[in-house]
Amino acid sequence: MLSAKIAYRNLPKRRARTALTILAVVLGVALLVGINLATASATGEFTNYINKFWGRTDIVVSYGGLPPVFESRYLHIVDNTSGVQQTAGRLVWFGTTDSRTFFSLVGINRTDFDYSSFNITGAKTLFPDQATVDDGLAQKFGLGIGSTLNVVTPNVVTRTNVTIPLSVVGINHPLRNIGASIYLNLTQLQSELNFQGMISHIYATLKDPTRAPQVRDEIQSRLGSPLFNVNAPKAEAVQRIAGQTAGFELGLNVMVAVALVVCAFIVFNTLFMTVNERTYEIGVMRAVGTSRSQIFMIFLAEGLLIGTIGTIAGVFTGLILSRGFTAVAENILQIPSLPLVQLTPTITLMGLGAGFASVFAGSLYPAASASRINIIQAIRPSARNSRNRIPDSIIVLVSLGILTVGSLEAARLTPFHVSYLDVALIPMGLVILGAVLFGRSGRILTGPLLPFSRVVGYIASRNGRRRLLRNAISFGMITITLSFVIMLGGIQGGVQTALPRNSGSAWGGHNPDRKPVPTNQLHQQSHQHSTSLSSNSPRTQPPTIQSQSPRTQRQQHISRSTSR
Amino acid sequence: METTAIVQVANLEKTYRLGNINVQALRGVNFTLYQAEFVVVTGPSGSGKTTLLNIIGTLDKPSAGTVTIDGEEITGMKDGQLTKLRRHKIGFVFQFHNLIPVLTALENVELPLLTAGMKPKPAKERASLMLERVGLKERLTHLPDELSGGEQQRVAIARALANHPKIILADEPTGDLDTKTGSEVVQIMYESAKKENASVLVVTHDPVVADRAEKLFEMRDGIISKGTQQRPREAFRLRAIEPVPPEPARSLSQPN
Repeated sequence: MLSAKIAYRNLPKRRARTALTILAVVLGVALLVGINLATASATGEFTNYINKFWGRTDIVVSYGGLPPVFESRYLHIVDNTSGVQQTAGRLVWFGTTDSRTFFSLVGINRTDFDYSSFNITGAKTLFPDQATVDDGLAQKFGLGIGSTLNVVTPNVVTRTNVTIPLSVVGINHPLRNIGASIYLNLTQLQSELNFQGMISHIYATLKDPTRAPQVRDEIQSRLGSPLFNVNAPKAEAVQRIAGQTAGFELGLNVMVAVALVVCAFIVFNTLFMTVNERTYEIGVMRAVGTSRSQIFMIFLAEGLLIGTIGTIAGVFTGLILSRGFTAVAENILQIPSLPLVQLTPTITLMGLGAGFASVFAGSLYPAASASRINIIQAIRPSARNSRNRIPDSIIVLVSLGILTVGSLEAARLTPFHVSYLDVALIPMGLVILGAVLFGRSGRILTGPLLPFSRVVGYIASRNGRRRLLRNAISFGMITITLSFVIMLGGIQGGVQTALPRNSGSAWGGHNPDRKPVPTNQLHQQSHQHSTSLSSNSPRTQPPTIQSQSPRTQRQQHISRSTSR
Repeated sequence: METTAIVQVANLEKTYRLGNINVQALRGVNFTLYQAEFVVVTGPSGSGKTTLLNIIGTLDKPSAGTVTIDGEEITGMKDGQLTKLRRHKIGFVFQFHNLIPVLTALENVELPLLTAGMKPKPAKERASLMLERVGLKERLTHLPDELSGGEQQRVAIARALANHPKIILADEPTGDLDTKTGSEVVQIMYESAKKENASVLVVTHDPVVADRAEKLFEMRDGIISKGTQQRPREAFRLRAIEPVPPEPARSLSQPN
């Protein structure tokens, strides 16, 4: 309490210095919080996007054999795997209406949990001869609810083309309008293709989605055949994003750490200066019975007070910075609809922890040196120069010893070898020896070295120290500001690189060079996509949509073969 | 009248190293301070007065000899023990800059009480009482900057006596004061110490202070060169403390 009172009343006595130090802490913490909030927001948005994109689907099973269908009994194997909550079997094939535009034909049953979460206008339940059409296709073909269309699809069993007349009962509005699928009754599609009792995909939702990779491996093992491709698309996409952003985040946090070290150095300088200025006061306090630990606490409290103000202000400044950054990202970098950044307990604690840790580190030595002050030297300035000096002869001997070891090491005559030891020892020995000779040589050497001694005198003087402190603080502030600017540049570059990659990951495709596409262009693009079978809709999960794992590449090959 | 010996100094020596020169500040001092005595040590600059005071005050360590305070030999004590000894048995009054600038007069007097572990309420009561005794009842909430030199010294005396010490050590307590104020401060110190039954050892050049000593020692070249000059204690007791009117507050600029 007493420590806090003394600390609280001392801070305003050195307003400019205190304000600059608090500002340094604010900037350091704000940088940490701002960067982490902004990156967490961006990563969170990617993850949310993936989750929205894939709906409740945690696991997707497809087949790499020819034709790429398998018996629906495998559905029960997946269903009975531990951790699986619900499954849905689908038959995904392809069709056309005019031999130019190809699309996915997806056979759905009534209990399909994924299909039931679709945003569909019209009827969701599909009876035979009824279809739900993605709105991209509906617009292309001029279809509405009640329209009819004839879908042509190859029957690989009879090696003929089958025409299926369908009546549109629903229009699906898939995420980002990139779907190009027509959904119809599963039993009807199986029958038309002579694939009775066969499906091409199993979709599964898990009780605990975080266990998706483990459940994926277990399903793969239980299915028995390597031709089954078992994927955990959400988990894999999130993992890919995490892998791509980890290095980027690490780089940013290293720079933040540098800013916090500078911040600790500024706190150290300020408090050390304060201790020097209040030496007499410390001496008096010690004389009237204040213990070393109490003196330590007084100065630590002063540092922590600076830290508390700076850290709390820094957390909120960081929030404002990150909101500013997301605004810049939305308006200048054209990153659509980033969520409003909110302070999370983790990042708040991280900011508070880092701020207090750096202030504590900066306060520790000044507080310790204040507590160990010599009382006599504190209250009698004339006694401050009466420290015991090591005799010159011993210093000369030590310097000669250092020089000898360094020289022997340089000539590799020592029984040991430490890299660069000679480089360190020889100059050190020369400097120590030179210092003694200089001290003994009188005025002969003083002349040529006058500028140097002036510099030393300037640094040693009170005014010189003060000016150096101000310069150090100013330099520190400039360093932090520059770090901040560099980091903003880094974020901008990083996001511009990471966004297309991560968007690609989110879509489940492999397209590292893909540029971010504004929403209004995606709709247009969906028409272009619908001209080929390799549609980007993950919900329909056509064979070509799998990511670039060896299994997927094999499947892509199978798909191409099938389409041929 | 002399009863218990509070401070016993035997063959005390102290040698400083100043640059390349060894300075022998004390050369075998023998000295005893009895309970409730008012003793003054005078002597020229560099004679070793302050060094003696600092060693008795446990602020400095002797090179040789022994110092016993209230029956405890202090020369072998560690820093923590010495701090406790200072806290409970010794009060200090320095020449100037005696007070903590950011604490009020009351808080300055509370400081040794709180650091000794006393609860805030009794500490406040004791500090108020001590300030009232030195005639500063109206100045409790004033910062040192707002007090005159004499008032600051009176706060220092109140602080030195707050923890019921056995000894008050004063190093040139009137050195920064005019004669009249110095005389008042010495008077207050004397009377307050007597009320608390504390011994006082004053180191000074000031003849006004020396004139009021019950025992007067003179130091020269690190030894007590002259015998004691004893005066009856009653000479001081006859004189009552006159209330000192508070001086107008000084307005000093705040450092930044």
